[in-house]
Amino acid sequence: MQKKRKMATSWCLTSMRNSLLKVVKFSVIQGRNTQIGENFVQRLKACTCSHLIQHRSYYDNTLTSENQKFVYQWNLLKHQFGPSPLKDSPWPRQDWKPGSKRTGLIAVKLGMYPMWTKSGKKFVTTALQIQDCNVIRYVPPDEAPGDDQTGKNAAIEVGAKNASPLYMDKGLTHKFHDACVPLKQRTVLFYVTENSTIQPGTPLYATHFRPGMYVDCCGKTIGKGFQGVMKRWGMKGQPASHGQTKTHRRMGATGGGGSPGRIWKGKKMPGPMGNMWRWTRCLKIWRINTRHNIIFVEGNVSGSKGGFVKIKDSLNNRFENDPPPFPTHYPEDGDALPEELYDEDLHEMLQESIAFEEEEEEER
Amino acid sequence: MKNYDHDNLCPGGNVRHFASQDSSGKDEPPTNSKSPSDNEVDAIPERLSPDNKAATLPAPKISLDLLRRRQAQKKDQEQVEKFITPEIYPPMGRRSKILDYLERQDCFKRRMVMDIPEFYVGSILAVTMADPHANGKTSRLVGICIERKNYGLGASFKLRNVIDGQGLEVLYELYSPLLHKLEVLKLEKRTDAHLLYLRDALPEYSTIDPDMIAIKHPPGRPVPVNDIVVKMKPRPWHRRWERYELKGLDVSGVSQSRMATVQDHILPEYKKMDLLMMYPRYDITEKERMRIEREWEVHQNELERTAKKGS
Repeated sequence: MQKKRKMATSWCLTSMRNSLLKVVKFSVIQGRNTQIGENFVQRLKACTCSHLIQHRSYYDNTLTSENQKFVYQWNLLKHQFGPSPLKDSPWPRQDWKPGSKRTGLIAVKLGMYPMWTKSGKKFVTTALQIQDCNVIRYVPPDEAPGDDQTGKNAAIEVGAKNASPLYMDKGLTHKFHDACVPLKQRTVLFYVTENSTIQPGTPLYATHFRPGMYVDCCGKTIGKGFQGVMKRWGMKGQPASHGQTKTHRRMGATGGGGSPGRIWKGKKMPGPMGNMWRWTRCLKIWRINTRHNIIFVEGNVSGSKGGFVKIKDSLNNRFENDPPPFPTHYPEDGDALPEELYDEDLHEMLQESIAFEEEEEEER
Repeated sequence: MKNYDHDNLCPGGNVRHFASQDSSGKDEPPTNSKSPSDNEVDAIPERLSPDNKAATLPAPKISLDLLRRRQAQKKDQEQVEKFITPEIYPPMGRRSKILDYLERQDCFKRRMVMDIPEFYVGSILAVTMADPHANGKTSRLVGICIERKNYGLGASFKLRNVIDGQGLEVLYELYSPLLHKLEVLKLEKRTDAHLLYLRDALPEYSTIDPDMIAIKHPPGRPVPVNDIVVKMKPRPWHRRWERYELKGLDVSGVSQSRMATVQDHILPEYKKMDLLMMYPRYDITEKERMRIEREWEVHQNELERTAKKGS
């Protein structure tokens, strides 16, 4: 009986709370005393919630279906009641000069795709799609975090792939509000030179790169869990037979004797393997689909399909001969690009079959 | 979605074709007539039902010749199932639909440049490919297709032939730009999804004349199924073919003790029809399948249009 009573009271409280919250929300919509309204909501939650207080965009299962719909739509709308994207005048754009660094992008790994060169050689590419990439904020060199050794470079925070406001922590939403941009699932900080400033809110497309350029791609490697020393570090283990007692896949020796008398730090041992960000350098871009924003990059990229990949310019690009779109590609500038951009050496499917020419015999 | 539709492979027929004969069009495919005993027990025949007004009229007399002529006409008018190439159906697994679509579009683009004809496992093909080390910079191979694999641009097939007593198998990529020509010398199907057992069969079944003349397949006719049963070389074989449930090879020479273990490796009938086991493989929905087939139709129409323009 006691249990039943407890449940009844909690249900009553939640229903009371919900009705009160509806009143408060209505006043919030109308714009009256927003701050007080929000505080009241929090205090009410604290009083009546028997479970953990969630500081999230609100979505309660105890609501009726009509109210659920309302709450869902209200949450989507709420994030549009921010400052206008025209609050600042457009920032001036500067030109590329030797030594400039551009921002990178965040892509989603779609899968792999076979291609052929003009000489008939087959190779495999990874397809990376740029989904809803926007610049979130620009950090001037004074305020940029000190990961970069020089301390002179500015930073640009890029966000990718729109997120649902219902499942986003409220504390993280303010920077997207300031940029006047939908909430993003992932953000990455790229270090840039001061001349490659981009106004927050600017969309970034696959045409930021061009076929023939080289990029570095960073993806989160597939997690293998807790792994032994043979798989994780490639050690040889011990023989299967010839008297080995319970020792076939072990590390074996751990180090020296009395001096140093301890195991060095960083000794290769069993542990978690995979699920780490890893860079793959100098991958050539062979093809760009401007309609779906897909970049085809030669070779493999870490991570599973659907995973995020950070892309940035590689150091071995010869931009002196052919400067890239700087600071990024703006579609309104210049003519519209064709749907598919191919590298010179790539065999396009609509071209004729490859035939080798007869070599002329050398005259002796 | 399996790449090989077993229902299409064996439409049911006792048609035998030999290499020397031109069999297409001469042998009659089996009729679909049912014997009276196949009908449902409790169904009332239409002529006896009270609604049938013609039941009282006598049946018209038709001569045997006229009947045969009408049957032949019907066969000609019968619409043969349109061929849809198997490599445009994506395999199971978590795949990007956009990427699959782009791959299919690239396949269709390549088909506008080079004609890739309809062929099956068991058909005899002649492949002309660019070769930097050959005379005239092209090499031609005639062989029987023993396998077809993979999706989209990576689609491949294997050709087998025995040349100067040496068995030879070559893997070709359908959409490679090095392929110049694909001729189907003989269009036919077999009773199995692959013919890898020809490696352990007597060489006569893999030997194809390199100067073989093409046997034209009249359009509109169903593709003939060759239900030849191949005789094997003495053991050891590359694989235990008796365990594979293949219809095209003669397993009579295998010892009793080996045949006794075969049942352990074959799924029982009830497991084959188990929906829960099949479910994860059927990743592609009916809607998607319709969309893919529509893309194929559009591509075929474009091909016809460009062919007409050219001629």
